[in-house]
Amino acid sequence: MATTTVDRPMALLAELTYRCPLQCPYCSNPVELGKYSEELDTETWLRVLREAADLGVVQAHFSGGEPLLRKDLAELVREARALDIYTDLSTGATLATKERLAELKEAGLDGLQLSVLDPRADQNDWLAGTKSFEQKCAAFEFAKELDFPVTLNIVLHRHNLDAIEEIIALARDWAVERVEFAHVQYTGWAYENRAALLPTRAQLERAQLLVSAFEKEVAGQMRVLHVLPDYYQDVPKGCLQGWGSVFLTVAPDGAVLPCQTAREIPTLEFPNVKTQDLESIWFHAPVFQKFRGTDWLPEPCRDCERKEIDFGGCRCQAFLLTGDAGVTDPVCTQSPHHQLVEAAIAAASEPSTDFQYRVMRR
Amino acid sequence: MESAKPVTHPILARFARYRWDKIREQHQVVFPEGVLVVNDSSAEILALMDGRSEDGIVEALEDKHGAPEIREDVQEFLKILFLKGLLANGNNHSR
Ligand code: SF4
Ligand code: SF4
Repeated sequence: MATTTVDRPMALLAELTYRCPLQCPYCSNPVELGKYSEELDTETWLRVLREAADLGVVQAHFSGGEPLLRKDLAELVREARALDIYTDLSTGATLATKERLAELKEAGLDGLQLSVLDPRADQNDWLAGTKSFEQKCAAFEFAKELDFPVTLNIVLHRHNLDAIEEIIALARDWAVERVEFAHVQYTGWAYENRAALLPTRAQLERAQLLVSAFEKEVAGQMRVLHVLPDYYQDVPKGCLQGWGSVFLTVAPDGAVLPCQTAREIPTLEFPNVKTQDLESIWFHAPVFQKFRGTDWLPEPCRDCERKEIDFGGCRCQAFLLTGDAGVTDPVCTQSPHHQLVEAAIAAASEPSTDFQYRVMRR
Repeated sequence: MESAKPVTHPILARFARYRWDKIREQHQVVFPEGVLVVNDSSAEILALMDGRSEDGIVEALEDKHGAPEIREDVQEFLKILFLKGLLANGNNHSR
């Protein structure tokens, strides 16, 4: 595809570190965490932000791991704001002291996304593999005091879906500006733990009704986002808004990824900000061209009316389930591999609670 | 909680921000999950969403342009913002 037809990216996911005090069993960081332990220095991140602004990026999501582990976080936020980039932070919040949050507020951080694993303290701490619920609640109070608009993020799966009323009650109680109910996406750690995390259809349908009713009720006061689990859909989620079309991720070690989980695909080679500028990466790096647009699409997507909507689904999921990143996402009922997803759903009726917590390993 | 309160003093939701994009030469409302591109007249409405009432916005625009369908334009734009979850009530927040 020629350079002239490629749009400039809108959003940068800045994964500042893969380090994290929690061990969520569905973490979206690579399973081979220890392989990428080297981190970019402050100077390089500042340059990345400047290059991103020049390239057309209008929003930066600071994430991790736990981004608060980086002492230069406020400095990076300040630079992004000086470049007129909208900034938000996703944090597990256990390190969100009032001092840190005040520093971020002063640096111009636009929004704070705070994750809770479960509205029940003991369940939260069990899922995180670490006592953390109380600290999250304290962080929320600090955020309110500092007048941050807060998003409550909660990842849904078999073990907290039946507590959906309590999750809703927490969102009400905290009177957050936004709440995001996002089902686990089965890549990375979540793929390894799929048997323990995948909900049943009955669980899902019940929760869905309650979330939809809540969404209607609070319209105009609280923004409710609901990310459905693709295993139970007939068509896949879109691969972002197209591979290499709107988003780019810079990983802690400087690797530039078309999507956060693209490291799942071992055949891909990723350019690095240490040796190349973002503009040339975005427009010319082979990995960004590979699944860009719709020309590369396989059958049955090629002739499908949804091809501009979902772009054949998730490349990482296609790879994880079939060993080939270039096939139709098996979540799609038209995929020749769809039985793999059906088998996983059938297996969900025999649950296991045997998690592999996220750990550093090589 | 009773059903959604009517928005009388429309402001942008606190997690959203207006910006002018120099590269694309467009007005944008940026929020965590996306960007809404708006035209010149909507940007003018946005600039007036400072906590004054909807009537106040309409009056200010009428004073400036004197066009008859301004109220409809304002209501239509506010509806778009509402449906996207980007509208808040200026009276709800102390600012
Ligand atoms: S998902 Fe959990 S373990 Fe992974 S980075 Fe986030 S808080 Fe840490
Ligand atoms: S056939 Fe391909 S494009 Fe069509 S819905 Fe399935 S995955 Fe999407």
